[in-house]
Amino acid sequence: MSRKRTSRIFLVLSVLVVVSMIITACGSADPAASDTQEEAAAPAAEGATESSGAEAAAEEMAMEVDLSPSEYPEPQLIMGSREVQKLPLDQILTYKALDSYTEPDWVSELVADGVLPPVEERLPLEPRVILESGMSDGLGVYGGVWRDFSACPTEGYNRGAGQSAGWFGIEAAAFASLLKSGPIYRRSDALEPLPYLAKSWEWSEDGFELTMNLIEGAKWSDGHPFTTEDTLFTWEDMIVDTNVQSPKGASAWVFDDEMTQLEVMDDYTFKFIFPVAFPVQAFFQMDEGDFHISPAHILKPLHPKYNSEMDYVDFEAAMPPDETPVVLGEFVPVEYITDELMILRRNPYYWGVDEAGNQLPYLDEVVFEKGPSGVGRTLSTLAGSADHSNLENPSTFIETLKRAEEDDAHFYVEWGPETLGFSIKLNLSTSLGVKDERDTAVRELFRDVRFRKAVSFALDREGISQSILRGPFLRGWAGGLFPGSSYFDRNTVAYFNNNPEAAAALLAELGFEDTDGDGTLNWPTERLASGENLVLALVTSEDAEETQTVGDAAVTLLGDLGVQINVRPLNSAARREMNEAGEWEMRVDRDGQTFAVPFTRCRELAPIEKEFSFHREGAEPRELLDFEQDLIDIVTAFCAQPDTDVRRQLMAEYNQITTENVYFMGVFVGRYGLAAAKRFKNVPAGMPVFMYNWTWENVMPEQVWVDPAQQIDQLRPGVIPTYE
Amino acid sequence: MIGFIVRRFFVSLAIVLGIALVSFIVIQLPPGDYADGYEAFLVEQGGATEAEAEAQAELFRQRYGLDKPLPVQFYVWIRDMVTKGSFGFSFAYKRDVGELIAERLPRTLLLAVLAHLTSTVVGLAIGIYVAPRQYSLADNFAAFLAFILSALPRFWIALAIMFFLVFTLKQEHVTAFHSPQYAVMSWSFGSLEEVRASWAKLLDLLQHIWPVVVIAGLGGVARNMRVMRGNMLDELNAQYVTTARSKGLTDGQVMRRHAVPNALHPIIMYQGTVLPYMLQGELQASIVLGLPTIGTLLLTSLRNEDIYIAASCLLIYGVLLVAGNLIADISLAVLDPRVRYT
Repeated sequence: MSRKRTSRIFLVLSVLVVVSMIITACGSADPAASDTQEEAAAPAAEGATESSGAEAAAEEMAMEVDLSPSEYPEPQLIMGSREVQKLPLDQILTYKALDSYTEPDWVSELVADGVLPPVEERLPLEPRVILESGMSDGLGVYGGVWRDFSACPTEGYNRGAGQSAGWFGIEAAAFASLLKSGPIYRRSDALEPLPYLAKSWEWSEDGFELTMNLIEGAKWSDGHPFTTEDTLFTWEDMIVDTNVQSPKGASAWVFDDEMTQLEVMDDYTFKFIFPVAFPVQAFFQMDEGDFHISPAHILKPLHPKYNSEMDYVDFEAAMPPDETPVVLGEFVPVEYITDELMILRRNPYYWGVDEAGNQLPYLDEVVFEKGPSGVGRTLSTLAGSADHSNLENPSTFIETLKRAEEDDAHFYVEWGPETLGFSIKLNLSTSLGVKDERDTAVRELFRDVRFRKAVSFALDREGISQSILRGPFLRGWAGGLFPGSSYFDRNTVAYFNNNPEAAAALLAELGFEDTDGDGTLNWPTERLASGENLVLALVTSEDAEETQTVGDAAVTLLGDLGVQINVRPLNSAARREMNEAGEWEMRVDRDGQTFAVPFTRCRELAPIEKEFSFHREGAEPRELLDFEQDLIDIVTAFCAQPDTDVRRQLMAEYNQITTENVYFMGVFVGRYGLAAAKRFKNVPAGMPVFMYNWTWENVMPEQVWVDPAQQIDQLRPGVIPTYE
Repeated sequence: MIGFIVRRFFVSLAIVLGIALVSFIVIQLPPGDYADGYEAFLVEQGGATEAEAEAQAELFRQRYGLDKPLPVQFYVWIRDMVTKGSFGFSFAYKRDVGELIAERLPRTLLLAVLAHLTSTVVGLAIGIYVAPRQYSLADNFAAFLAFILSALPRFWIALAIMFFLVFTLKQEHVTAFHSPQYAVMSWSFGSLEEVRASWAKLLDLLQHIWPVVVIAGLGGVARNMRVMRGNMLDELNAQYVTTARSKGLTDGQVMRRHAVPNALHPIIMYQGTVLPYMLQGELQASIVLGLPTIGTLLLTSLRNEDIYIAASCLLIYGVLLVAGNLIADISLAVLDPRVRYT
């Protein structure tokens, strides 16, 4: 065959292929296009009568289809999960003087050399005593290292002014607050924070005053006494001063538009004077991360209020990352190499002991390796160079479990309660972000419970769960409280799950019909005059891979019903901007603490605040749905309710109303997993990675110890924090 | 000649300013700013309510000038760079951007130079070896391998190597330059003991950086190999080589004394402009492995819109590219008078 002829045949074939592609493409598009034109030409009135007739038929059809919710199933148990051993507070810790105190030998040598005062002088009169009854492995021995990983830059140690020390546990190891919420999951007596620097408190009879008693004679890591001067400084010059970016600002202390007052009585006693009676919620503003006690003797001279040469930017940077900070926590950062690692050493002035009088912590050193992303922590744990990781991305579960099952693995995996949930939210605001007729129609549709039920019925939650991760790790979630919450009651759940027939019937009842035969439902003209296709925008999150899987599933499942979903992944900054402007229709969220520990963030359960998650107020006042007002009433009562049992009843009601009205659509829920070194003793059984707080706050690191035979080398043996 | 250099210099300056402007605008294109990310973090991780977080973010914007219009932000950034030598302030680190980049620059350059050396040395060696064996099995095999290495995405090789390191070799601290015990140790050569310790630290360093060097280095082998092979073939076919052979020199002598030195010229010329490409070479592998180089810093800052880091990194890459080209232009002008007049 000649070369010329070959190329001619090739040319003819290419032309044929291109022409056939064009014909195929046009063929599918043409009828739809002409249909739309014909439909548009039809008079609007005719369309209306037609659709009302169709609606009646649809209603009939809906009557036949079962629209009732199904029963929410019991959870499946996962291997390797232990029950939390819940105890009353007086079996976990107390504050009392002991006959004698001891410290590690190498610290005694420093005392002998005159570098440190004797342990009795460093400890308070009545130290915080961790009781053996609350320890899963008993009293410990000294020494050992905890190797961990932080994926955030360390800005500095002025936490009270909003600086980050690097998160991932660094704050938990180094800083202290009045109370501590992390270990609440261990309490059987009350769902209330544990005493920490404040050892006890009493309400006045009328409930307007709360007197707090601080631990007496505790010292900062430089030996300076800790007193109410530090509390007052923290209150007046960090929390109340609006120029300071304190973690919890003054607004958290405003009740009924009036500010709480703080009054010092003596060196170790002060009281809060509240504008309302018994605002028990306030305990959660006194815990770690919220009432971060700042060292007055260091920071007061640098505060712009007392030092005219300083401004607030300089003040924020007053505790730089390369200088050893003065802190109250168990460990003190003594060395930091930017983006490489941070070494924390035991705080020789830490004010806690065990029952035998051993000054805590047991561990001598904590090392945080630094890296650009949290995946580094999981990788380091798998490779053996980190002692702890939180399993919070389902995509890493299988590999981590496989590694943990190998004989030489240095870590184990334990699963916490079901509090890792993803949901779909619909924008319920009638005005914020509404730009045209279509937006108005979309929001009205979202506010119709039938549509929300239709979306919920469309979701095959088990299928979605299994497509993300095969096995018993994830399961469907109706919305409302997480099944892992201690307030959750399975019988209160109305579960509208995986019933495409019901979803189709509800959409038909709403008047949606595929009038142009293109496979996508059209708006009924009385809802939206243009009668265009029902196309909705769904925003997912770039930072949480699973939201994108949920988005893809929504495209298919709702697409089958004729609802076209356009998915758009955004990063968290962009999502935030979008939320504030109200310019979104549907979004997939990874839900946080609110539905796990509702009491700590109770005001976020219902649209109490104007900035409420998916029903936000814009320029015009919100039009609350009827049941939303009920939710507000329940939640307001819940926030002020001191009795745990009454709180439970209120949450049962809340959960019922939320799920019956499909306030938002839960999609799936899973468990956070803890990967922790096998050599660590006294890690509480069944400890959740994330509940009231994250791992480092939950574990009570001062009680963790390691058998000397398993201890690994310290990077800075014999070092204690020193100050110029 | 002076006029040409001055002209080229000012054109380069204008280009650099253009790069600065474009990169500053491009960085701001994604919706949201650093304060939005900060706000999301406060709500999701810090336990703040929406209202509290919004107030904090607003305070943050005022404090760090994010509430000002873009032209003003750009002007302040350029002004401080010219007058104070400051590259701006990092929101995430709360530190001067110049310091952050200065900390990472030596390591980044180390990786880039090592990777570049690898690609040059391996490429040249293979090129020299295969040129006299044109179309042989070795030649074809080398070409196949080199092209596969340059065609495979570097991030993919990095992922594969990382998986191998973590799951098979169980190598610790894969995301760092050093294991912690060496990270806290400084280089010192005072006594024999210190030299020994520094040697151990060097070995530890090599253990951590070889993946990046191999990935970035081998990816560039194809180019060097093909250039060297081509040059060698030209030289080997030249008359003076035939003359050398006829004088009775052995093949080895001909290669060493005549062919290789002459074939190296274009490779050496190329070194002047290679710096920016070297830096890009390490970028992907470092990002995947999470090594703290400028590449990782750039990516993180682009993601969380820490604008001054991102803009400064892009500007530095731009300046290196422009400076490389300027040097090449001037060298060429010195060599070839015709260039000066065009």
